[in-house]
Amino acid sequence: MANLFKLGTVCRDAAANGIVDALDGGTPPGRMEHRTGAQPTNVADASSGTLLGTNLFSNPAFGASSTGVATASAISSDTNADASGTAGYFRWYTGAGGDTAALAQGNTATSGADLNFDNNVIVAGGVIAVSAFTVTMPIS
Amino acid sequence: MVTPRIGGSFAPSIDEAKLATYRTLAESAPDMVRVEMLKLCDMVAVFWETPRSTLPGTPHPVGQVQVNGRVISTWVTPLAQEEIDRIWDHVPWSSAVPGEHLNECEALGQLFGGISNETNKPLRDAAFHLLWIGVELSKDREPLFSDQITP
Repeated sequence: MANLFKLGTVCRDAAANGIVDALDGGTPPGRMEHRTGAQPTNVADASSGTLLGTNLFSNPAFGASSTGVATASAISSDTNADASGTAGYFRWYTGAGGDTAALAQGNTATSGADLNFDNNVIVAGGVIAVSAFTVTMPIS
Repeated sequence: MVTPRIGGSFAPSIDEAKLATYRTLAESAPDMVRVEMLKLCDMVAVFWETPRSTLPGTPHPVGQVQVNGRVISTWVTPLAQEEIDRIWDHVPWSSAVPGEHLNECEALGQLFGGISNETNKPLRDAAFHLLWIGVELSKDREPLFSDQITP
């Protein structure tokens, strides 16, 4: 069945802001954790894989959405990665969020993923950097 | 429209002493891990035989990153063609493979991913450190280590 429901800019911005503003809940700044393996089936599921490292968002994490696109403010690099492995997925948390309180997740690879690493091999003690992250609320 | 979500990884630097330690760790590893780690150790040794590239730098694909509160512009130095040719046989390839097949670097990542972080962390760290260097060299560039970008 065709999906003819479309969102206007006001709705797209409201939705995108609602998503990214959740990162500023609890005790900001929010964080992004990187782990090995495939992402869990559901965001509410416990994390799997090895925790490789954590990036901290700014406070607030994102700027206001424009035309349905919210862009992250500066994301601090992890300068001492926790473990070595191939980054497989990431999860978002508020600063005080526990593991099963993840806000969002996505897969990580070198291309075609929700988060693309130029080199997705993580080495313990090294730097994990995220230089750009946007959330886009589509028209439909 | 491409939605930019970009990340980058920068490993600690490596010296001859660390490489020697990695060889020792590899010698006691299970068969396939041992074979592949020793090949990567040889790759590093061969790479070190010539001076660093002096070609003009180009922006690292990750762009500007924030490290310890400072914005760092990351650059990479491409390898000269003769150097690429010289080390070619030692560097695992990371190019995409048609169909749902792993490239060599991805396959090594799966192999090393089987090393326990809980019970064999030194070996796992060594293996992935070598693989990280292999991925960098597969992109025909000087590896950009974490100490080069950390203020």
